[in-house]
Amino acid sequence: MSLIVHDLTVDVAARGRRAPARPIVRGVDLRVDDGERVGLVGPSGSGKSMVSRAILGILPPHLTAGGSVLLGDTQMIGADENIAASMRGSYTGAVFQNPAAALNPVRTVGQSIALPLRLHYELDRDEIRERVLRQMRAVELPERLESAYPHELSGGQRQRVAIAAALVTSPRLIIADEPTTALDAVVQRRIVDLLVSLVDDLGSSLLFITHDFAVLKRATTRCYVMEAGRIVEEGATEALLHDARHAVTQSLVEAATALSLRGGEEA
Amino acid sequence: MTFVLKRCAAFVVALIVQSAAIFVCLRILPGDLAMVVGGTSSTPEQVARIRQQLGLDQPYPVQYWNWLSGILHGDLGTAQLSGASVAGEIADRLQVTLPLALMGLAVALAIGLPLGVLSVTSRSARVRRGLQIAAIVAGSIPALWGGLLLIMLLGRGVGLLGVLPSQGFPVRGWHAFGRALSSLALPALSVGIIAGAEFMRYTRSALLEVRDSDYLAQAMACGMTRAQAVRTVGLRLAAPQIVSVAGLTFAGMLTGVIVVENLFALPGLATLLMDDLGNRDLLAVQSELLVLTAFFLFMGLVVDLVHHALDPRLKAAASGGADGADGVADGTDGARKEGTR
Repeated sequence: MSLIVHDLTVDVAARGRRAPARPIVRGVDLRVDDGERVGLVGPSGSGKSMVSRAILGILPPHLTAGGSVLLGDTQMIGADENIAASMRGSYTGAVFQNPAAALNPVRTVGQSIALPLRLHYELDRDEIRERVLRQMRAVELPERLESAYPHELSGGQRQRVAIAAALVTSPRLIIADEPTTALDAVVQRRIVDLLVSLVDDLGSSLLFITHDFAVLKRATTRCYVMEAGRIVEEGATEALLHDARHAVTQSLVEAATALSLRGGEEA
Repeated sequence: MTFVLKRCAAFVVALIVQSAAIFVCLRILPGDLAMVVGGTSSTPEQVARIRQQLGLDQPYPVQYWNWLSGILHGDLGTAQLSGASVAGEIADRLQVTLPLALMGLAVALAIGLPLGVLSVTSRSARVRRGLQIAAIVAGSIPALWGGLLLIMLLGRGVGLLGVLPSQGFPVRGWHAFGRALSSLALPALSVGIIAGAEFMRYTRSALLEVRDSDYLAQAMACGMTRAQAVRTVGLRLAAPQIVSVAGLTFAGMLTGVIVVENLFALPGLATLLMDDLGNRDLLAVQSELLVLTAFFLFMGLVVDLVHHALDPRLKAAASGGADGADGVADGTDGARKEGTR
């Protein structure tokens, strides 16, 4: 089992009597089996990004998480910081929404992709470089971009760099938090297909977070729907597209269908 | 490279403009050097002769040109009352002021950087709040009062722990290395602690800007702890701002230590300038002001060049922006340039 989340809560930490704790995520249960691709879908502000950050143990300091998050055998909630950090970038890989705001602007493409390797493995320079170049080929980035900086790349190229960095250590679980939202439709589709094929090649699991059912259909087989901090519906992605019960799910499916001109089936 | 050349050219132009401004301002000021040199009992003829000797009877453009061409030959003029060369006096005084400013900057960095990081990364809200208050309090201390407190605490002869000299500078200067160093310790602490508090606040606010950014989230997702990410990625991204503050603090210390130099009776640059101003020695003052201005402009130049070296994004901007971007883009994603960030 790659990931088991049980009764996860995220709260804005209390600050004295005047500002009591405020809930953001309530009692979330979800699981991702080995090799499974699972979606977490919901409208903006439903708390899905906070779920992904709580799983990774990288919530902003003013937020606290409760409940249980098991990555393999490791409990992430309340874990020692060093232990949590040792899981990130080795057991998990993460891709964020806007690579322009996430990739270190003063590090080259090669350095950004090499970071998880340098943090978790004792490899010499040549080995690191070799693995970085192999990973760049896997995400279809030309070798000469190794020494380029993020600001010199297009949006799609930047997201390929982020995906390369997330996958370079062959992690068991990849968490992609709206990885295509900052991209245009054509590039979106390419990036999703690339991510899915790389995850399948590794035999890893994927937790794909989005508000877009059209993307979800391409990327996942099963998904959870979130609204206002809770999971309101779950099921096979295909089934939810045709037979959504909850109003939120229905409106998200409708939005995806309306957006793709040729209808939901082709999305 | 073109950026470096352009920036150096701007430095030279700014210096020339500043020299003209200094020259004009000092000619507008009241007071006649020739009368001061001649003394109160001198006759108008004597004063006129002195004026002629000093070249003060020539038209202003000629005076200005003589001054500038002298400087280009390394001649900053002669102080009229002492008869010493201004360049020599400045060099003498710099032996006190430059080490003082350097030591002050070292103290400021040693205090400000680690505490600034701690005030962001500490898990205890009390520590974070306490450091913030300490920074505001220490930064608000007037140099005079802070220096006095230090003398009363550590000054030899008067302090509770009388371990450090609090007055004067050894006559043999840096040949008496130990004594010279110890006589600058208290002054450097007085300016360094106050500047250190400022530094801590700048470091803190620069780090807070990046603390909740996805740059840190990305670094943490790759396997860093939060503290590690703040220390490496956060500080690196904040580096240009910290360098700016350090450069300007250093320049400010060189010119702004007058209170401290007076309090600790140090023969420094600021006291020299004040003495010559009091003597109406405008020929010496104009050269001294120009040296200080040149130093200020030079620190600005250094800060800009360091900025440039620290941030690869500036290189693309300087070399015409899109050129750099197009050079590496390829067809993978239609070579599309997003305008975002």
